[in-house]
Amino acid sequence: MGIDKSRVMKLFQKDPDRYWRVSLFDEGWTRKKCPNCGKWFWSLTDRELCGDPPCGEYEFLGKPPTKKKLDYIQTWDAIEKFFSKEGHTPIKRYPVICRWFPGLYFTVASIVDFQRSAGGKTVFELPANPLVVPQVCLRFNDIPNIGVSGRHMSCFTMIGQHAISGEKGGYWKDRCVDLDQRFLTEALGIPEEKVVWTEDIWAGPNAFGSSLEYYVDGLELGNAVFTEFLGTIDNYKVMDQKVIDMGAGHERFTWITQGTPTAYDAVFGPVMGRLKKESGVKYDEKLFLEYSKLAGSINADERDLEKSRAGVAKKMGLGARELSAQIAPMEALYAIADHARALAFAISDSGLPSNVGGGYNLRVIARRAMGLNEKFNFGLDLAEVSAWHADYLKPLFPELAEHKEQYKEILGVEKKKYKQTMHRARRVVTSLIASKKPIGADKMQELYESQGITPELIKEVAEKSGKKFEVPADFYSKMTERHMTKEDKEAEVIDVGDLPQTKKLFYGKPLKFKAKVLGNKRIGGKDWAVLDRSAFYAESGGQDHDTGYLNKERVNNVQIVSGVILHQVDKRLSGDVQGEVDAERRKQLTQHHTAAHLVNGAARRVLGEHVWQAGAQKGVSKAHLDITHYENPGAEQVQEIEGLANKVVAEGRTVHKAVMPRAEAEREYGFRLYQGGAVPERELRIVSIPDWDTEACGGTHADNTGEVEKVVITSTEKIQDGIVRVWFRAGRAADNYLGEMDRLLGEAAGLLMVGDEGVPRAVEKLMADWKAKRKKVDELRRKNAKGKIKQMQMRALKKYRVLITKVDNANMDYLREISRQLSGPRTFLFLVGIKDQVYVFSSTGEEFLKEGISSGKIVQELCKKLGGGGGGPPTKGEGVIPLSQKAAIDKLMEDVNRRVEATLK
Amino acid sequence: MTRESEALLKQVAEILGVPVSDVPKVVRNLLDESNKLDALITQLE
Repeated sequence: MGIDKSRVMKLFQKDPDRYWRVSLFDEGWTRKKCPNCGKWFWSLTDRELCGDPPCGEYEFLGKPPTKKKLDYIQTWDAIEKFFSKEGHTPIKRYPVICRWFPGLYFTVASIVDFQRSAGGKTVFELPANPLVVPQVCLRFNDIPNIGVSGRHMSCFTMIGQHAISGEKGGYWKDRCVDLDQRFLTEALGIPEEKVVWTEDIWAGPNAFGSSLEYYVDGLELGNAVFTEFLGTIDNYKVMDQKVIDMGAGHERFTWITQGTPTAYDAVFGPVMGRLKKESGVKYDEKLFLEYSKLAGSINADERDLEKSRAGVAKKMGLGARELSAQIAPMEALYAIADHARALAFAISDSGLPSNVGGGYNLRVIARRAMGLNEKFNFGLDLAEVSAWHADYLKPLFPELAEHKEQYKEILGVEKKKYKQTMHRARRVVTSLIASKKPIGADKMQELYESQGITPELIKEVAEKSGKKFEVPADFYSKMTERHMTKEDKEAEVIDVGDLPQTKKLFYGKPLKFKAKVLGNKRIGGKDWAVLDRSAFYAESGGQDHDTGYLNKERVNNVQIVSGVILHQVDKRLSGDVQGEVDAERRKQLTQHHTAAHLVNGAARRVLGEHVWQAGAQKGVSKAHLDITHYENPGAEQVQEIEGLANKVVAEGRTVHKAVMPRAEAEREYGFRLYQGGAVPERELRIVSIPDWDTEACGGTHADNTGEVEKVVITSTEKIQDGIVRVWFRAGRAADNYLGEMDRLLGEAAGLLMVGDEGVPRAVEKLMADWKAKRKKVDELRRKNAKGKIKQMQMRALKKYRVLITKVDNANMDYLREISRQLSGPRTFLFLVGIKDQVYVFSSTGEEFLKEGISSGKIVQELCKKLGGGGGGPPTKGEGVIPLSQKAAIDKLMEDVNRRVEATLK
Repeated sequence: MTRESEALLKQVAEILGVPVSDVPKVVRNLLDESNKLDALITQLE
């Protein structure tokens, strides 16, 4: 449960000066309440409304309030220059894929850069105080508005101005607001009377504070959050280290200095020009300027887009269709530009479109961009558009240009998948529409998530069939919301009571140790001993647990709960114990764990920088590593990965293990450390294979890569879209595996009486011979049947010919063959075959049908009577009767005969 | 042998459409089947 924001607002409004008044406001500013929206704001003028749309319009469109126009790069230069001069350290952006903080797939705000988890709490760790950062963020909750509203983006740069109050260099509200006001007026040249500061609050799960948003000419430029209180609204205290969390829109600064019709025109710079040129879309700037002024209020999430647009069209004196036709292609281009930029950052930071987790949202925008490209027939290549962004942003984010090849590769694969999906989806949707079943929100979600079928595609197919179908405006928002945050898995709660954490001895060499039993727990009907110290490694980080002995009691399982190691033994223990870990098992698990790091490093080198560990399991006989990759690697790539891993084994590199403060480890090794996910500790155990792989890891590892002995990749498989499982074995497990391969091949060779190399050819020959022999048997059977059938006499009854007979050693196939040869329009056949069971077959010719005899019915009736089953259409009946009823067959045939004769009388 | 054995075995497993570990068993079954078919052909002829 989060904090109730309305209660915080109510509390703060009782004493607004305490929470919102800053020294700047003493210089002639007045506090007012907007009569339109009810918000409190501060202004130097006598303005009545706060100006935040719908309480105002974008007044800067076509007439920017700044002294000069700045492009995207120049905007950052101005910010960096101003804040550096004011004592801030400019730092480089963090990745857009958030690997360091649990619960988030993407970096959604600049403050996320500095959020870490420790002991179940969120802490802030700033690398400098104060600092400023151009943090690129990805958010997917406004997808329908992107390209349409003129300002929404899935990828934007939040200018983070952060400081910790009370620490060296830090400051609090007065200086923060003063700096931001001066940046607007001094650096950008905005007249001070144009600035409006609006009162608001911020509340997170366990902290809250006041905030001041600043607007110029109706455009919100930034929001200064003052995180001051820790706890809940009913029980809180002032934080020891209060946090300044000011986030401003880089894009908005650029936009306001240019006053272009949309933020996209200002922000995407030359990319928009190229898009217009390549697509041939004509751009009517005057029309867009007029439209954009009014379109600021459009929010496709809240209202139906068509209705909103109709309202704007009316104000412009145009028809809704006329307006749509003129602006829709440009809106599509804007959306493509935004999505290509988001994908450029995501792919550069090792993100991959897929069907799971955050990758899902990347797929949504990739497919939306591809769909728009197709719909308007632009002929654009999404990877190329991403590369144009990389070129334009090079002075600020040079790393993007290094990943152009990956854009091509990853988006190329994505395009192929999109085409395949669309092809399949059209068939599914066509049959769904034809079935006339209603397609509600749940069905749409199911179709989208399981088969990639978009509501737009349903609409397209429905309209072609003359049916009306409305795409819900909030469809994508609802979908992407489900994939923004990671859900914590419900872990089984085991209460270890007051037992102290166990001293861990398993990183050391001795596998024999002495310890004291501190207690026993009864869990799942078994006894678990808790010691003061233990060399037993508990199952964690994908590594299987140790086994061994405590005194003479076998340790079958070892688990760890809240730092307490639990040893599952068959008998309760007490007093002093002597422990001994199974050395062979430990050695094997250790080899597999170090091998997993070797394979991970090798896969990254062979398949690309997007490779990231998505899971791992290190057992005794085998191990696997799940990696993010878009397709199952080919045999040559697998061979190369294995070869590289073994090269490092042969080189005998030292495996370094050290416990380091988290910040230091991140600085030295980057976020690739978090291969196994974010680590909620202030100190990390770093396992590093020099120039190969460095990870935060709590597993047992070899001291030298040579101890792994050998790595054998046994197979790879795509376990879900975007994730490949690499099965491997190391050390003795690898030898055992290869030995088993020798044995199996040897056994096959012995059976076939050939050498090992001759086995594939011999098996091919064996298969071919077997098939040929089966064919021959079939042919002989047919031939023999033909001979027998020729001897069968059909009885003439009026104009018809009738055959009612029993055939020994005949199955259903045989009876069908008889029918094939003897049936005609004027025939009736009733055949009974006796083999492993009694087969009944009947056929009635078309002419004979007029006499009212149905083969299906006769067979059904008679088979049922004798404890079997069967049936069929009037022309043909098939059924079976248990062999135990064999004696009743003659009577049955007599019955049929009588019925036929009676009918034809 | 070793890796060569593995490669040969995987090749055979693919021909037969079975897992590697089932190769000898399937080869044995095929040989038995083949012998039975020989007998059946003689009988039918």
